[in-house]
Amino acid sequence: MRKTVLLLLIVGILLVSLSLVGCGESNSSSSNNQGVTNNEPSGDANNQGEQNENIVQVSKENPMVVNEDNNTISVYATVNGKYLVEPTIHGLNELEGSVAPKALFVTNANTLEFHDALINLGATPGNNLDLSDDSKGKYVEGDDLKVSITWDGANKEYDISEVIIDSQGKPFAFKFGGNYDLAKEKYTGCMLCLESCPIGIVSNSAQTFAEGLSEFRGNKDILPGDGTPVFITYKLN
Amino acid sequence: MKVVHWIMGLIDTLFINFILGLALAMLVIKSHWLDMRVNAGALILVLLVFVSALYIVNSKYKIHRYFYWQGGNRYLAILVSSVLVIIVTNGFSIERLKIVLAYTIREGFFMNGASLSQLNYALIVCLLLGTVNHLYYYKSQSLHSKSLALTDEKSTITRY
Repeated sequence: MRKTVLLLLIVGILLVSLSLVGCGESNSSSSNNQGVTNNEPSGDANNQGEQNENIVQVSKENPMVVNEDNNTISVYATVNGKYLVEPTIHGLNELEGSVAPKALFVTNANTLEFHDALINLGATPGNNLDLSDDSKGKYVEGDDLKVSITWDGANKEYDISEVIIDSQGKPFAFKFGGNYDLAKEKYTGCMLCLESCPIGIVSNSAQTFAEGLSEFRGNKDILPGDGTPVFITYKLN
Repeated sequence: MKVVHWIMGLIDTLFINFILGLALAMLVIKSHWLDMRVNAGALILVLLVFVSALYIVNSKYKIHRYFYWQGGNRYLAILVSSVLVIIVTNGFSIERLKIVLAYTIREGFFMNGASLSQLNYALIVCLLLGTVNHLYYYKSQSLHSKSLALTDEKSTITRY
């Protein structure tokens, strides 16, 4: 009798705890509908007031916003907390892509639409890499892009080099790699690769393809925690 | 009573193999090449399904000799070594443990709606319950073995 009661108690507590997990909301839910205007950190209220009329806010429901006046694309993403402490080579990936769980930031924005948006802004893709051995050790080419990031409560808009650590200490130099066909075929969802990549739409030309010379981690002293929404902006130079 | 004992045995099986699976997942994550290509947390789920199947099949066809987690000091050895692996692979860092364990479980069990803190609470609760269950199950197993031994002794006396 005592054992039955104890077992029922154990099972009951287990079920309650599992239901708490299943019914709980992730950290990101509280910020689902918040966004910033393109290129503006959340604290800059004056400029937001002037520009809000014509600028659509990037949000979970509207994860990619193109600003042709500023030549920018803003993307809504969330932080994958694991890669604040573990290394990864994937900076920003689409949720539907096959390697989304392996990226530092994850977004609902569409990878191929992101590529087309860059083309529409007038960016020229490099398309110089492929998956053959010939591409190993090479650097991605294409138009330069400045990538920055901010989030609600951030002190400023950070350059991506400030929030992602390269173990070799090299600053990031992102280029529009292009790679539409391979991105569509493999559908890894790669929108920001941390080394030169034949599949990623935008990748880091400071590191070569497939040599694995460096490790990359999110800067946990600056970046917010797992599930926090962030706003990543690509600016065409 | 038999059903209760059976369920406690199943929970005990899942408990030790969950910890073992978590240790194996931590080893996979330490390989950057594997971590970028494999859902390390899925190892836990696969192992749990496998041992559950073994346990259920054992009810009909006695295959408990394949229960690698039972017998002698094996249970304790698996528990201690798994916990050591988990701690060492995370560099003895509480911060890493709080993030990597919960993230691995979330990824492995496809619980994308759960936050890391929720999973950490659930993990602590499961560890506590698993430990309590194991202590009671082990005690009831010992009593069961003793009563079997006494019955054998009595039957021997009767026989003679």
